[in-house]
Amino acid sequence: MKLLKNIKALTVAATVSTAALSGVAQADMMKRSFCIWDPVGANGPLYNVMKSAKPSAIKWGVDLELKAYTDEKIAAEDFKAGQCDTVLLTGTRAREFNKFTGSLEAIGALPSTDEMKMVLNTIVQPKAAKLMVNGNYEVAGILPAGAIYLYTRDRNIDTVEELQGKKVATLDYDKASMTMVRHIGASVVGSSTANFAGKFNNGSVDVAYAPAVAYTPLELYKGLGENGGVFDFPLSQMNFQILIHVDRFPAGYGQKVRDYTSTRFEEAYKIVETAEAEIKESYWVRPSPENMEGYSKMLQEVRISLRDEGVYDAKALRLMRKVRCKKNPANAECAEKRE
Amino acid sequence: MNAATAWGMQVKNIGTIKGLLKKGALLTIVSLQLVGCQTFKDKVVYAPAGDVMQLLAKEHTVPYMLGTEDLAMSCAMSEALSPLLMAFGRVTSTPEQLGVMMGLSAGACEDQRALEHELRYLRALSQLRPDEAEDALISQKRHLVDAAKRQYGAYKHLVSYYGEPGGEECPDLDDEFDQFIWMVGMLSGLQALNSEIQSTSGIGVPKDIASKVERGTSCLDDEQWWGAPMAMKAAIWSMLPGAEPQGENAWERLAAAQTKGEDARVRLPNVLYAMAAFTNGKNDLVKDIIRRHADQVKKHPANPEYALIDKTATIQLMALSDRLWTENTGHRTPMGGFGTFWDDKKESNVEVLDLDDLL
Repeated sequence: MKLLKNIKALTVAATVSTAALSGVAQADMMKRSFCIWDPVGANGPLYNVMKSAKPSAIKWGVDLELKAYTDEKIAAEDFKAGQCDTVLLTGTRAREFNKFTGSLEAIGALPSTDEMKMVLNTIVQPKAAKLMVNGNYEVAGILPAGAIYLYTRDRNIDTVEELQGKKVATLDYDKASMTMVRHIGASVVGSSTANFAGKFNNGSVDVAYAPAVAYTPLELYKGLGENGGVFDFPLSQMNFQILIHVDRFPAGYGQKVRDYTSTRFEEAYKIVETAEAEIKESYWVRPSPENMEGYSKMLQEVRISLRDEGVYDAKALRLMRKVRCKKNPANAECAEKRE
Repeated sequence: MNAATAWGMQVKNIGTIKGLLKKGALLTIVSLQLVGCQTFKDKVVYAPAGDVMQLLAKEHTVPYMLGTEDLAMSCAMSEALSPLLMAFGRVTSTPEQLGVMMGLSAGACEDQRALEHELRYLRALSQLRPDEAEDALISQKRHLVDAAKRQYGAYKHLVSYYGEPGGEECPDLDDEFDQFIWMVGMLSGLQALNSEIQSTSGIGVPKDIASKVERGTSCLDDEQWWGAPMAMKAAIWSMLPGAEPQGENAWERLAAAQTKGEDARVRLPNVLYAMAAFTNGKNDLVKDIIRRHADQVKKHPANPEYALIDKTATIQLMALSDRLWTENTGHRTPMGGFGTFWDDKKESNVEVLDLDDLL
């Protein structure tokens, strides 16, 4: 009888120590839903990248249940309504939950990947955690998706002035894009991520904007045809953001996920580089340095007015101005400090 | 023997020796030129052998294998014989059509290995063993990378032989074999894309394969090929943003393709239907498709000419069923349980007696 008791005690001890060693116990585990916007759904690239995060999340005490959304708007709404504990959205969609991180896609704010990398590495520091939180929402990770470029069906449109009167496929839920298109005198053709490529390829719009990762899958080369061009001027730096309802996760979860996503930056940039290399060399339209400078100034004005209207976050714009000035301290804006 | 005869024989012998020497010299010259010359062996020995092998494979091995149901054997054959058969491409025309078949089938071997690790990943997750889950996921992705390479290899053979799908015109798909290769080559392309995405690695599978295949399926007669061309098209509509033409309904088309596959008893459209449903989070529909497939397979044996394709569909749906079962119960589909699910309501017609007066 005593022996049996001892065996029982040993079994219990072994079970407890196994759980303690692995740092994971069923009772401490929080089951949480993770809604992922992926235009391709559960077999898509974003969903699969996020699947890789599940084992790490278990170590942090969270058992994530992944759910794919092909409609980003619904994913954002479900998160807002509390049906998703955490969500993955584009930076633009994320703006309503965190104006600071949602402004990292601001028009013309980050002229190249180098600046974007600097921003991402800066805000992943634990010191920046405060900027990641807005009420009960927290940004628990940002993944870069590359620069957004302008695609035109006619490569003779090689200055902003020539965009006047042209039809531009515009994401109509994004106030910044609408303002920008109107600012240059082009006409807005309301579009979504699901239909802009079709409109561009069949000629119902003259111009579209998209990241390089959309070029091959959506066959944007069909719209470019013989005469089209891709304007080699990053309009913004697209990114994906993971948001959480703070009170539904263990303390420190947000920072852990941010650290985890930062280990994926290089992987993400590799995908972007491959996608950019797929754009035929002859399509690139390289604006002159004078024109580039002019566009940068024009976009700065648009950013400032959007900041004043409350669309962009002032702190984010200031951070990005600092980053630009770190790289090019001689820029006039570094002395002006208008952002 | 007199002297004259002996002399005569000597002369004859000398003549024979001379003749032999001449022939020998000629043979030596020829041999020196030819035996040392790789081209001779390639053109005279290997090339005809290669042509015979190709013809044999096309006319007999492929139809024979398509009539069998042993997918594991077909996969093992493709892995083992691919290098041998494809090596003939060095001495005669590259056996592109066989390359399509071999690549697709050898890719399936890696897919199956990847599945085992995926199930291990799911079990480890449900048992809260993150390190094991991480390891299983890495192993799964390694196999998926190899699967994608093989499947993309098959697609490249298709492109080399017939040209890229989705162009202005269809290639000459004269006979049934050409049409079959066109269809499975495009399926390989789609699988390559899927495997690459699942592996989260960039191995260079062009991301526009889906759009090209969507157009390329129009080169096939949907009725003749068991509804599979339309199923491929509609599955792409349901997965690729903006691909569905106005006025079309991918789900209606997929349901119609399911019926065509069942009528032909080559139920390949079910796989595409289930994949589309799974991708779009329609798990109840996935279950219904699996249930119906299992029922059909039980009631109506496969078309003997394409038994392997029907079996492939079953194996792929079994893989999907195993994923669902493992996620929800910790183990794969039980023996005899294909077409059933853990949460099915048990129905029984057998009467149960009231025990009250016995207790």
